[in-house]
Amino acid sequence: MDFTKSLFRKEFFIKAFQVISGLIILPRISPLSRLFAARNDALVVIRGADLSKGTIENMVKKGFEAMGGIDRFIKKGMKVVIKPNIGWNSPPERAHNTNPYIVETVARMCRERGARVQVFDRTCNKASLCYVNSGIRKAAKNAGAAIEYIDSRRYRKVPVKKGLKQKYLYVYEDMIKADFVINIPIAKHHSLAQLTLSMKNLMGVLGGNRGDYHHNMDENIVDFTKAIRTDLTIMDATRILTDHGPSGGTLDDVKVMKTIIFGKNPVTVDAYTTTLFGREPRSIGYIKLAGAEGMGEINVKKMRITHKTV
Amino acid sequence: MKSPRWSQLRALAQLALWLAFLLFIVTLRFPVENEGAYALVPRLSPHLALTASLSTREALTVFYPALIVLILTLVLGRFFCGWICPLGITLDGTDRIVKTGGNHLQFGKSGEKDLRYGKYLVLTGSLILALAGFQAAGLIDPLSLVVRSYGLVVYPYLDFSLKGIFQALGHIPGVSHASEPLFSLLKGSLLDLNPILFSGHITVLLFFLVLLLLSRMARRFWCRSLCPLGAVLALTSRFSFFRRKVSVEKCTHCLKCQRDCRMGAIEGKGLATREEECIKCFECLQSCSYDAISFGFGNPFAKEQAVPREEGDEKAEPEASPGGLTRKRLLAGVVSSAALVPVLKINAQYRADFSHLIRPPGALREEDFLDRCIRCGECMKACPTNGLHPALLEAGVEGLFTPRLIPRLGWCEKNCNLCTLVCPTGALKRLELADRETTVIGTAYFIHDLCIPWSENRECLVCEEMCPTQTKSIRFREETVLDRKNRTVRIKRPYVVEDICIGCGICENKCPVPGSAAIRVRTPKNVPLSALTSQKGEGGYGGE
Repeated sequence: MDFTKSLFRKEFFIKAFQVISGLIILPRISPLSRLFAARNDALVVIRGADLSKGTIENMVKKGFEAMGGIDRFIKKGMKVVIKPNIGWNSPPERAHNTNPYIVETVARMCRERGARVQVFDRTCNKASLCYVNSGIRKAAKNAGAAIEYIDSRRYRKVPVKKGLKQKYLYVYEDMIKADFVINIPIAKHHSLAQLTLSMKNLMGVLGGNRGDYHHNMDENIVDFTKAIRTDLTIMDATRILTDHGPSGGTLDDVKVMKTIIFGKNPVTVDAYTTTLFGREPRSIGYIKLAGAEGMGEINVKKMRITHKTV
Repeated sequence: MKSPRWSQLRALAQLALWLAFLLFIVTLRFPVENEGAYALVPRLSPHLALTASLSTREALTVFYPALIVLILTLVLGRFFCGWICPLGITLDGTDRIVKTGGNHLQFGKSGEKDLRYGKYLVLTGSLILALAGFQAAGLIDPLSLVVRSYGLVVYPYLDFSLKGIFQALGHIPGVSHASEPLFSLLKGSLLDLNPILFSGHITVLLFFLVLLLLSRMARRFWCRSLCPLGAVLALTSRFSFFRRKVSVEKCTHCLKCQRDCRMGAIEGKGLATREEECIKCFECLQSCSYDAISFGFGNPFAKEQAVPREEGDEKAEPEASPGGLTRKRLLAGVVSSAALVPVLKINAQYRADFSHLIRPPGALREEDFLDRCIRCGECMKACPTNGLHPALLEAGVEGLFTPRLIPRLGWCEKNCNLCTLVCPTGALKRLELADRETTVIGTAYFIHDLCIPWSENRECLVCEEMCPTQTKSIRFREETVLDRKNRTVRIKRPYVVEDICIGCGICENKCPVPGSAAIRVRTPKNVPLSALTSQKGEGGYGGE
């Protein structure tokens, strides 16, 4: 009896070991991994103590950690596109462009993983001045990423499946060819769209006369999100612009939130970000539409949110 | 000082300076780190220093490099024309292309040797006009003209052509693999990142072409007979110390040096020199087979220059008046210049319709601006949005080639003061970036018949999005309207808050209406006319 008992114990331990190691290994080797961590409706919200470069660096690192580690996303030799908002010729304090420290940290982490990193945006003000005065040109160079100006010949026609208003869009070639796209918008007020977040930030990779998209803007923003793949969204809410956006605003309109939000689904990230402005996700036309189209969870209560502080 | 290599050395120096000049033109764009270097070229001209000081009635100290040129000229003669002037370099370089008429100008039946006195008349004219308050000097000063021509014509044409070639190569499979990396290397270095073009470029080109083609009459015809800067330097160098010397013993009067002289400065039997015409190119050193010529310091006031009195050599005497400028001719020049004053100054054009003449930020009051602007075009070349363009007749004849903002082609970028940094004269007063946001250059207004939310009852609001003012000078009201299908919809209709608008024109530039925009920028509306022009009381709205 003692003998069988000990045999049972031994088998139990072996089985248990197998199951546990399976649980650990499986998510890392199987495409089912998506089920385990970083689910589509999962968000990581990082709050920092201040806006210093060191703190923001740690916030970004913590964010990736909570998303399951950057190794999960970035593999050696990958072509990674980072799409910040560099639309305006303004310094970071005005909260018109993405915080350069975030761009620098993300780019550096990708470079350390052995990826090739490109940073670009189709600007509204003059590109050369935007790149320099936003601080993002220097940030990208510091991190060893390629900072490139848009070449107007390199837009490709991309169909919009089940588009609400657009049948096709012209999307920047590098965006389509990338192995991994990281969208890093800044959260801002916008009179027509009400808020410009990650979905609206995709306008920065579109060709053609963008003025045309201002009519039926909500539907068009949903179409951008349908047509343009992004693999990871990192919302810059370190400073948010609460009024007179996306290009104006006094320093009183800039609210220091010291927050960065990580998520895989841009709709979910945007829906959560509205709460930083004290808004309901459903009060923003394009988020409500995207929710109705089943593009992502927009009910904040149903999201799986991990909060971390740095 | 005798070496056959001097003229080669000069050619090398010219090439090097030409390349430096090209570098200056190419890099005259964002970012400008050392603004003094960018403003240097026009500031070298004593002619501009003189006329700008006359027309503004104040000694413009920013022109101190011109003083250095003048002092050096007193010693070295017209070396500036032969060695440094970028226009002179261009003329020397294009001699073969325009098939120059040779070194000797025979003009008119009278057997007049040349039209050398012409340049003194041009100088007289530009001084008299400056005195009368018309800065015409900038139009014809070689430094102003060469910067303008290279910046607004030569470089943009080169940029356009190279981009076109690379774009065509990019379509050819195989070739594109080699051409595209080179293309991206050139973009942002030799080539501009954006298309660069100038409204009215053909007029600027015509000025430049005519000048180059003048060499068909004779080499350096411009420099001999028309250049007002050449005239100033010639007058200065009549008594310069560094002179050409010819050995009477060695000279065989073969006149080869005379035939080779590009300025026609060698007179008589080859022994005498018009020092005020000699540009110290040292070509004669090279051409003399008898080693008779040398350059060195000598006494400019010495009466006798070892010129033997031979028959037909009377022209060897230094003339009492420079270049055949007789009292009669001078008088005629003065009178006709004075007659030009009303022709050029009367400016109904500006008074009648200056509403869309937007000057760059930092521009002085219109009249003071015109007095001081030398039309070099540096601000236009530097403008990162390519929004500044040379005016043709929009500001009247006297405003020819002055900068104006055409917002539909390029707006006035926020957080930018480049044009005011590179302006060599202060016609655009240096603007600190902190003041940029409150510097008013115009006021926007809507044209409702074109504006989409007004004319089509559809949403747009691009202008409001772009507006850079802190509290938005373009705002909107939500209004209930009927859409195309007669459904009741609420849309946002924009309007301008004139007190806040600074007239940067990004709204006009980005307006998605095809062709002419539905929002335009006019001259500042809430600024009193007296702040724009000094014509208080006369004309304007002041009444009788």
